[in-house]
Amino acid sequence: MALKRDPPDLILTIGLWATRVAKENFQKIPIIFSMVFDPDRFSIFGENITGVTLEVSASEIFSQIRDLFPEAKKIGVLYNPKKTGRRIEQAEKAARALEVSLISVPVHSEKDVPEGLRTLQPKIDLLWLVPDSTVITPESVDFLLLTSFENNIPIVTFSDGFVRRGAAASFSADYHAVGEQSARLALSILQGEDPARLAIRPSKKIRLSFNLKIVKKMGVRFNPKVLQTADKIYD
Amino acid sequence: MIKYPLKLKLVIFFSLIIVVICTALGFTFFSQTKTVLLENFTKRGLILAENTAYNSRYGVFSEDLVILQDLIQGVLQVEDVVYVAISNPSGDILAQKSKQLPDEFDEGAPDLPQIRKKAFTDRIPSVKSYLAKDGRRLYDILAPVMKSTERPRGFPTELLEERFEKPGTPGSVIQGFIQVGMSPELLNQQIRKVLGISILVTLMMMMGGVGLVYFVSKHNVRPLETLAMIAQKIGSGDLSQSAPVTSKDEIGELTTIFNQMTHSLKARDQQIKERTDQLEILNRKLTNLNLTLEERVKARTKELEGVIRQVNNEKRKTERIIHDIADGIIVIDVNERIILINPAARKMLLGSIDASDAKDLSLFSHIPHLQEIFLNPSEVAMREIEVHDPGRASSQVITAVSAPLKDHWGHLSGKVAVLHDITALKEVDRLKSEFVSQVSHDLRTPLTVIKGYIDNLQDGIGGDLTERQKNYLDRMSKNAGRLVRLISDLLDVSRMESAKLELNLTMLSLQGLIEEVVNAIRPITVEKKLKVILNKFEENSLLQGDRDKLEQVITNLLDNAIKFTPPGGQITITLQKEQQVLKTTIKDTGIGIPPEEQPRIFERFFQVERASSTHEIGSGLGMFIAKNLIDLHGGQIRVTSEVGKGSEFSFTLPIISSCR
Repeated sequence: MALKRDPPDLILTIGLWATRVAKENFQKIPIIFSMVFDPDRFSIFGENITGVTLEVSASEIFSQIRDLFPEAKKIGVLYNPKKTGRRIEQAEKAARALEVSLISVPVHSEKDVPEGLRTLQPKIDLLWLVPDSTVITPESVDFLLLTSFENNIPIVTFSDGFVRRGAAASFSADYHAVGEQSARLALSILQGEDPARLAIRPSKKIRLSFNLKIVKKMGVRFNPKVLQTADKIYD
Repeated sequence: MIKYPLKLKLVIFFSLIIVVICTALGFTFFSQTKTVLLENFTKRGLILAENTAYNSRYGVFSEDLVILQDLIQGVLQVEDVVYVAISNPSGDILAQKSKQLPDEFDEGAPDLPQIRKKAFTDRIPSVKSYLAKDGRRLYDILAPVMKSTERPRGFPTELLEERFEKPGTPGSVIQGFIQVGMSPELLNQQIRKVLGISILVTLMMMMGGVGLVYFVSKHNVRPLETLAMIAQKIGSGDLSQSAPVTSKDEIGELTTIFNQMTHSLKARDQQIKERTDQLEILNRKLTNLNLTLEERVKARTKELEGVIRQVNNEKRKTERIIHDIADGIIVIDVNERIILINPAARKMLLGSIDASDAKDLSLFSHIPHLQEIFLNPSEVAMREIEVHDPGRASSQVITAVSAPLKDHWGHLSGKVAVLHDITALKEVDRLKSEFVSQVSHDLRTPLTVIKGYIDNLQDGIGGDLTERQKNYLDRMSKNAGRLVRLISDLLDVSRMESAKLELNLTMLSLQGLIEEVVNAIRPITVEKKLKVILNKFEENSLLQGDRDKLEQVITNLLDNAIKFTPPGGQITITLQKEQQVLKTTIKDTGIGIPPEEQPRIFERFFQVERASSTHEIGSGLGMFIAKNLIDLHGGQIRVTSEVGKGSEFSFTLPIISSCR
């Protein structure tokens, strides 16, 4: 509320919550957000809003997967159509373009996740986890990882944290780069640019985390090049 | 009484101890193991339930039957587990499966969780045992499925933000419950197995122990048994046995000592045998001796009987004598108890007095002076006593002489007194004295007349005398003088005896007196060629005394000395001062006085026997008068003499006269 009494020239938000609070309270002051996965789903757009998303595009991910796990032909994904439906649509397009077989199973509640995974599991070589809060909960993480271990299905996900806990690899936005991009946006707005004309953009740099230990244990073949290119290797 | 061998006792005793210890050990081991097994069993159940609860978090959260059943299947792999049930926080079953209770555990018939209805709020796992419908005991372990409210580590913040979840508050909430039913059958099997092993091990230990005890006892007791056997043989007289020493312990020592003992016993036995032989010989001799002795004893006894009879007769005789004797006899012991008093004494002392029961000297308390003779038990005492018997008019005069009585060993045992009645003698004496006095008086008057006329004739008053007449008159005058002195002596004695003699005391010099007397008798001494020496004469010899009487004493003593000293002899007179007395000694070289006559020299009419035969006869009164006069002056007179050498008479007189 201090901001309301003495309005600034520009608001820089970090995270979804901060961004939503700022958007609801300030319609005139330019807002630059960062650290948000899917701004569209939370209607984070407008005349005064622009920012840098954490999203890594599906086509980027699929090409990287093909490069990293050459034998993984069938990629499975669980999603809640209400939350990540649009993103999966884009991903299916990208998959078609890259000739990757993407098998998506929708779940409508947290309780459907085990059943969905059981449906998916026999059909896939690799599980792609998208940032869907129905699928990924503090409770489900262990189950997802366990299913992955039991069936030798590597998980490719969006957060380094999961790799540390047992996912095979993750492709995520580089937080440093996101910060830098946000700063550049802020600078150009302060120099007179109209926020409406500056598009919401993804991170320019992608970080790759790789769990060598789990992949070796699963016996999944991988491109040894990753050992040079990966930003972080868990061994 | 039944005799139990030592071995059996040892074995039984130690076996009992071993059995008790083994049983206790076995029981302890079993119960400990059982407790541990049961603890492990429930612990295992708890761990299993908790672990399952932890693993089923997602299954419970998603209520996914497949996950839950997978989990249940996994748990049922555990052998003890009979059933597993998973329920939501309100106790409604989400999934359940039973291994051995299919009927009881049909789907839709979930009465099992009801067992634990009350526990469905517990956050802590618990165990409850209960009886199933088929009667089996089951353990139901209940563990809550918790959900942490904290943000899990490593979980992307972005996703949580999406769910509008606030950063978690610390703690957890119950999501559901896991119930694991466990059958203790396997446990019981184990317990039974442990029980079996315990019993087996205990029995083996017991058997081993008992065996060991048996072996040790046998090993240790055998030498004792051998020893006992040999001891028995020795006891029955076979001393040739000796026990083998098989060990170096106490038993070995005992055996060695036993053998030594046997050896000593053998030696002793031999000695005893020798002694017995000797004794037998001695016994035979003794028997013979005894026979002789018996005969001798018999003979001696007969002799003794004769002697005793004789002694008794003597004794009776003596008693008779003592009884009949006219003199009284009294015997007392050291405690002055009268132990003998003969009838004469009784008559003399007690007369008509009724003899009282008194047994000591108080019996004679009415008689003055009698008790004095008993005063000094070790001295001979004599006393003249008068007894006044109220029954008689006159009194009796008795001389009592006491002497110490000594026993066989010479110890003083009392005193004996002899009483002699001298009443009659006294009376005769008195009559005699009276007679003498009368006669003397009667004789003196005519004698004085005769003497007077003799003097007249000698003085020539009757005319001239021829030589022969003068000679006759001289003799007459001398004899008349002697007669006068004799009569005078007799008068003195009678006066003394009737206590009529009185002293006429004046101051005088004893020395002068002695010199006067010596001068007066000089003609006689010269005639008899006797030398008279005054020796060590005390110059200062004043004292109080009766001049005439003392002169008489000195004259008498000198007369005596002259009379018994042969011609050419010597008379020495000494006057000495001794303390408070003047001592006069008259020593002669005369014939002396035999010792037995010395005490009687101062008695009346006493004449020394030998003297009387060879010398002129005196009155026998001189010494008596001298003693009485010295006594009257408070002095003492003594005589010492040796036959053939001479006599020495001495008298003392007190310087400061204390005359009677």
